[in-house]
Amino acid sequence: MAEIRPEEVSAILREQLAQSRTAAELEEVGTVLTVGDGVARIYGLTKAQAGELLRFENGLTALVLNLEEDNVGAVLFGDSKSVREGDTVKRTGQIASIKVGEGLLGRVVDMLAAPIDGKGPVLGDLYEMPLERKAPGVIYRQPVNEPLQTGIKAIDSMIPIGRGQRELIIGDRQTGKTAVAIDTIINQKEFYERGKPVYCIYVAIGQKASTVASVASTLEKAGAMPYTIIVAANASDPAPMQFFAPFTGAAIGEFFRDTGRPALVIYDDLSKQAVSYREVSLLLRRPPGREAYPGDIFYLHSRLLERAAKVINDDGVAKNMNDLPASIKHLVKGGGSLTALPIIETQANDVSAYIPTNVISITDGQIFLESNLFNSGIRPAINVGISVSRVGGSAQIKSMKKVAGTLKLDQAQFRELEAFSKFGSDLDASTKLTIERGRRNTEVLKQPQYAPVPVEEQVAVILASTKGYMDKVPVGKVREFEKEFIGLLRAQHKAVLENLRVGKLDDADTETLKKVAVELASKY
Amino acid sequence: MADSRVASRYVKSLLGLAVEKQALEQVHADMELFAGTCKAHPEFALMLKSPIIRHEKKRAILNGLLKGKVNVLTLAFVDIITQKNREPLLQSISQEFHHAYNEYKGIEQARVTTTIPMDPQIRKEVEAIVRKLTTKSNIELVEKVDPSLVGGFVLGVGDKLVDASVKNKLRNLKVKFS
Repeated sequence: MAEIRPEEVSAILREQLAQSRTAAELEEVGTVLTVGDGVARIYGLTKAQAGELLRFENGLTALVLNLEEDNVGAVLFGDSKSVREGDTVKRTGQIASIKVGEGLLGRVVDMLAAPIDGKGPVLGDLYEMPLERKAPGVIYRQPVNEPLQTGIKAIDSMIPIGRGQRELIIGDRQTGKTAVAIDTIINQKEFYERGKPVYCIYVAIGQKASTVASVASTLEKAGAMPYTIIVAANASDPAPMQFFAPFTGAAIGEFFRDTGRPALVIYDDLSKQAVSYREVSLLLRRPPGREAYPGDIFYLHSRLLERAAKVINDDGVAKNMNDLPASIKHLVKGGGSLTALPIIETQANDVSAYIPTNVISITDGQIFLESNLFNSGIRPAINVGISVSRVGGSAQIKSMKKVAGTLKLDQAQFRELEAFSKFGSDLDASTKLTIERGRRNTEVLKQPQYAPVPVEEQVAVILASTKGYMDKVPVGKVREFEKEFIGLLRAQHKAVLENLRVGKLDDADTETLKKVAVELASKY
Repeated sequence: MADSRVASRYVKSLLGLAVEKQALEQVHADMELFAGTCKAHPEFALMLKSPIIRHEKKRAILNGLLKGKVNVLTLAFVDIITQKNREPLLQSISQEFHHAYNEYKGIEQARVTTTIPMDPQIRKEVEAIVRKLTTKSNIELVEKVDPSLVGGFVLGVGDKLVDASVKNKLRNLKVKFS
């Protein structure tokens, strides 16, 4: 066994002591004029740049946000109680950045990417990534062409999301917005197990610490933590840390994106971020605009969401990407993607408020969740009528595209006719059929929380429903039928499912599915 | 420092006028005297800032204090300030005037903190360092003694700071080894 000799320890310490620079350096300093509410005004620092990091004597950091005639406004990344009037502040000459690496996977970190889950320091190679970074330019991108499977039937079939897309999840409180996001993370387990993980980053902004803890434990239980990072800026954290947390998430996502891997980042939620940005802006005395938000609130969200991208599948081009941080230059690969799922909470279903309209216009589509649907038992409570995905259609796998076209049409007709059905029974046969099939489709699209469905099973069930193979099944038994149907397929027709998974849907497969479904339906 | 912006406006016009009337040195001396008085007698500064004491009263006090002791220009300036009910600003104006005067004369103010009072030899060496840091020809040294530095010195010129104190080095070591 190796022995530790105390002389060695003191020799090492001595060596380190000798290495420490003792020469006095010229520093640029300023003095704190006022401090409070997480904002400090500093006199001096005439050369400080906007976005630069400052350091106080006690090691606390701050970020320059305002440059004024006679002072500098900075936000503190920590407790403002430890800073006093008259303290000296040093320039660091650096912009705000975090250290990112594979070691972050499975961890819960704060806005500065420091672990807060009590599992010790982050291990492995870490790379410096700037918080604020320009989005990739036009020539470094390519159109969305791969699907991001959420495992939610209503979304994957009718509002498909592609890797690199920005899809907004919007709805009132208690409509299952976070549930959609968490289900999506859990569904990526399939890809993790197959060795092609989609790295997930869940950014919790201004939430209760208990809520974040329960999300972490849910993911842990579902086995989703090994490919997931949680960035948490809790309600008790200072406002600057809350509004910078999404940027931390984006910086972590960019690390995976630029090294050629797919990543998914969830901002839960951006309305709280907007509120904390408004707080900081008002404290910095920036002029308030509509709903007292500052003028650049749109830019805050647009520059954040622009960073979601599908990077061109060409290493040579990707290597020249704009604003690449020096630390990861040697690792850059093409073909990576960063998908963003921002969440916005509305008040009383009002999507025409300031922040919702802003974010709707920035994103490539939105998923509307409604409380009346939720209460009538349609969960996930997605209003498919007004939910859209502007680019995801091109990313859908072929088999799903085939069945989803009919489903969309059927559901649209069903919604039109549903109102009539309430008047009674004197409807013609075709109308009746549309309504009955619509009811079954609606039933098929329901699914419980934390139970994402693999895409091949989605295709099989939706096919059975839209082709009318389960018309004989009573509406109340549809869920039961679905369960049994999938069970049968899994047990006896693995090859068909595998075909569906890779996107093939030929006549023979359709025939097999029909046979199984009709046979099963006749038992009900 | 919130009122430094207002103060700098007044200072600019006073400086311009003083230069024009060739009374800059006298006005500067008056302002130094005023700043010194405010510092030596905090109750005087408090009185100027107090909202309870009426403006006419303050004006009478200032008049009585300054008449005959200062330049006519300074007296007129103080008079105008009191007429505009801006007496609380007078202290920061007098401080700001010193900065403006240094700027105008091309004087660089350097702040030196040491553990023991400096002897002429060291003072000369410090001035040599300051000369390297600034382009201005004249140097004004503000000296301060602070035994808590343990050793070495802290030199500040404008926004720049050279911290060569033992206290700072110890702090750096502490950060490095913790």
